[in-house]
Amino acid sequence: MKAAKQAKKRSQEHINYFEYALKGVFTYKTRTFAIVCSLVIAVMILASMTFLATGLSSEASTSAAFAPDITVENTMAGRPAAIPLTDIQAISNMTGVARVVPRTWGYVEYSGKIYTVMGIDAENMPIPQDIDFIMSSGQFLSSDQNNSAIVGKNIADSLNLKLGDVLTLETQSGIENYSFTITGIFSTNVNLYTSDLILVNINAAEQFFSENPGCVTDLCVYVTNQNYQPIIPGSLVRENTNAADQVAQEIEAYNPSLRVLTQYNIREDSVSVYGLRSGYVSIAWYVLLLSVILLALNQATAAGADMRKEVGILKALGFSTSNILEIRFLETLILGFVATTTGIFAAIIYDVIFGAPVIGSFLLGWSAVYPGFPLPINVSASNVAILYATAILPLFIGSLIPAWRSAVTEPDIAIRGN
Amino acid sequence: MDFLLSVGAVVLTIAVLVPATRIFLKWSGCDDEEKHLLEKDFYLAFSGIVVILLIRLFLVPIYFWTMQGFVPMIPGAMCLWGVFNAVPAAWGTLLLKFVLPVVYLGWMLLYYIDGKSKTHPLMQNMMTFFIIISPLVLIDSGTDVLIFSAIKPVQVNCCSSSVDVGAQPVPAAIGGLSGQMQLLIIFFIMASAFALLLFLSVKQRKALWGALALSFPLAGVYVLSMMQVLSPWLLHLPFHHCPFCLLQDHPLAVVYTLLIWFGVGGPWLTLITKKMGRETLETEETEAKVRNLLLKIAGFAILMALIIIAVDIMVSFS
Amino acid sequence: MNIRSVNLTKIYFKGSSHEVVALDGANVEIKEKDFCLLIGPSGSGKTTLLSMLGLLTRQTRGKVFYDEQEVSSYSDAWQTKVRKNKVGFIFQQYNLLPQFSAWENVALPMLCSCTKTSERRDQAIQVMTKLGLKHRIDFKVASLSGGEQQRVAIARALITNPEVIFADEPTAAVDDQTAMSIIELFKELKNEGKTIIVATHDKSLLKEGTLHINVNNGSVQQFRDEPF
Repeated sequence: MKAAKQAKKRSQEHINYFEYALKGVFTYKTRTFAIVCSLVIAVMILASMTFLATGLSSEASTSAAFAPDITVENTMAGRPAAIPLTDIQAISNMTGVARVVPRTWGYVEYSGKIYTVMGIDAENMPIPQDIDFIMSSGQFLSSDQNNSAIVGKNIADSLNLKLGDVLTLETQSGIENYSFTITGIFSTNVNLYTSDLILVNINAAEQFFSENPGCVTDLCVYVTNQNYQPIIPGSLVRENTNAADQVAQEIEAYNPSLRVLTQYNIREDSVSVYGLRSGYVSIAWYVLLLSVILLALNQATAAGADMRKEVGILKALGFSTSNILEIRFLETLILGFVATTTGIFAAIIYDVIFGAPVIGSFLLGWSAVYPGFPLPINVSASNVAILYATAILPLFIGSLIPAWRSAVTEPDIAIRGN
Repeated sequence: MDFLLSVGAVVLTIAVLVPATRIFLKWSGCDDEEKHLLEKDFYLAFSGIVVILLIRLFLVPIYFWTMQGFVPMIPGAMCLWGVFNAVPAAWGTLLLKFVLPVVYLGWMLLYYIDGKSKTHPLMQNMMTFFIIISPLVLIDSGTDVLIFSAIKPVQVNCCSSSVDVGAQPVPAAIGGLSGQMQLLIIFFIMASAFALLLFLSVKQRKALWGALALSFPLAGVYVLSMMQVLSPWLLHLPFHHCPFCLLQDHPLAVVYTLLIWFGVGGPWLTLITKKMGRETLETEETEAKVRNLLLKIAGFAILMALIIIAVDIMVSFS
Repeated sequence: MNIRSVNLTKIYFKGSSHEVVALDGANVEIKEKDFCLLIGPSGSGKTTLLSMLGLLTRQTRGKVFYDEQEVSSYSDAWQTKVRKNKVGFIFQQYNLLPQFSAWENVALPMLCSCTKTSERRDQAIQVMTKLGLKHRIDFKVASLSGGEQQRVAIARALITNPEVIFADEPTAAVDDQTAMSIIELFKELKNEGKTIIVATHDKSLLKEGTLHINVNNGSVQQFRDEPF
């Protein structure tokens, strides 16, 4: 109890220093304004990029769940080519293969945007639980409705589509049109799909894309012992990867011209793209942060004469060098914390309300061609903690020398005045 | 974050060595005015050292937390064992993670004792100590930087292939008492004796030497007990002996591991203060108080750990 | 509190061509409740002596004792503690902080202790009331007259109830009336048992001193109970 009382009493001293530091922040307004403004901008850029990059990576990781365990494509002379359906039997007979489902898909331009039209075998294509696929209205595809299509909710909203509407798309030849009747609208937890994906029956897709008879775009291979467990958040692998790897090797051995991609490969590639791009922005950000620290250093030194006099007076009145150091570090902490918090909020506003105009385009890697969709951002505790550490610590280290120089001022400056 | 903070610690350590060395070389044999100037250098060194040591102490749990985060990304890894196999250098630095915090705390205690005295009698000792431990700080920070740069998602063997294969180092069963139970009893006896020695050390100096001598065997027996007794029993996996899996899947194990760590490190801390913190009558008095407090806390930490382990085992089997 | 110095010497820019011996071998003995005056022309070294006795400046050689404790060898942190607990300073240029109000300036020495804002304010008001500043409590320093600022500076020196008060030319920058009130205040403090050490040119202070220390060209002569 006594120790607790003493601790409480001691803490009052540090509260007093905090109040003094807060006053100091408002006293030296130029320094405060310069440091806070520049740090807010720097943090806003980094925070915006961090939230977007982790959001996109997370979305890419989740979206890869829609990919089958193994995707098999054909190449001819090193270029993508349609894969014949005869390969289905051969692959189905391999050890560890549960099922092989064909898929025909491609891109189509509509109203100045590019969408994905994917033809699936509605009866046999499994929809993984990971992406929270649900039908908002209407029903899922059925094999007897050849010209039906189901679209993502964002597509329906942006193109003002309802159940029963006809969606007429220009075919690959450019001289024909193909009409699909909207029989369902779906939503998922992946913004990309609900903004981009049009699902149709595989036969309709073959006609639409003028695919060679007996050929499809790729084969979806599902291996045994897969429980379709939810992906570990943030991870790149699901369990039993080895099963997929083994089957993939067997398929490659069967036909070396086939391009065999495991779900792990697809996820890793799409996630790493955002990592690479955010890395470029990070480099630019470090340069910006360095200039902020130099500015802080400059401001701390420029305010030196007034500060030194003040410190001399305080020391004459009974403040020790450690007390002055504590006050200076508290000032840095206050400035850093306020600037970082403001920067984080500004980043969220920039990302969510304004759609991250420059950074978003850079990270996404394309511009207006792609349909707009709500940018996924990930504001997690670890992201925020890293931002605070990344912004405040360099500022702290940068202010070490000015704080020390201020703190070791001789108290007799109060008497001598210089 | 660990990467950034470690880089900061490396830079600061190198920078702080300059004033620290200046003080170390000039302190003894200088007059009051020169001492006053060196005192100014001390405040710069001190600020830097405190930031460095706080970073390193803060980074110990962050290091393990970060490495734990790599588990899903390393194919074949099921726990930290697999992550360490992905970067073998991490095994070598594991010991540093447990030993260095004791050293850092030692420096802070010296500073505390010095601050209680009126004339900085431990200044030279503090700077000497920092200069001695600075290569360790650089290694600690530098290896963090290297490990996080080098980690790649390579295929690894995880713990089972290392710790579950072959004969297990447990005593043979005697009269119905299994080897695991015997090991547990040995651990409890050793830990209790260790705690007793710590409490006795407050009054009798010789008991401290006994505690120091027992500290390493106790640490070894604890690790063995974790692997052979606690992992199989608490994870309900009779043939699994990985301590990292235990710490990963049974968070209470982290608590009593920390308590045991502090208990084992406590007497070594007092050795640091005893050797470097007794220059004048003033410092001797303060050092004695600090030493006695440390020994008592270390003793209580060991006893708390034993109680928690016992309760944990009982709850696990109820 | 008794203050004693032995062979106190201060050399500025030691070893360089601009070396200045501000004080050379000063031996002084100031007893408890003394009203000590440091007298000498400008540049004689009296401010240097004052600041060394007050532990504001480190000596080049020599020692300073407070109640026979050698405080001159203390670390910076411990000298600060001594200043905080036992010493009050009154400066010639007041040295008030403009960003604070009058009471906040007075309460500054209490900031580095474990007292809450309300307690500090109450204490400051008490001291300011004694000095006739009750009506200026919340005023910013810039809006105070010179005399009021000096009284705020004095209140600041007194708030921690120090045993010894050092004052550097306390009446130099004020009018005669304020100077008289300051002298009266010093007499009161002396009667309360405080030791007062004043560096001054003011002739009206001379007759009040119980100890006169004449400082001339860095050397010191001490006269007890005799005016200079």
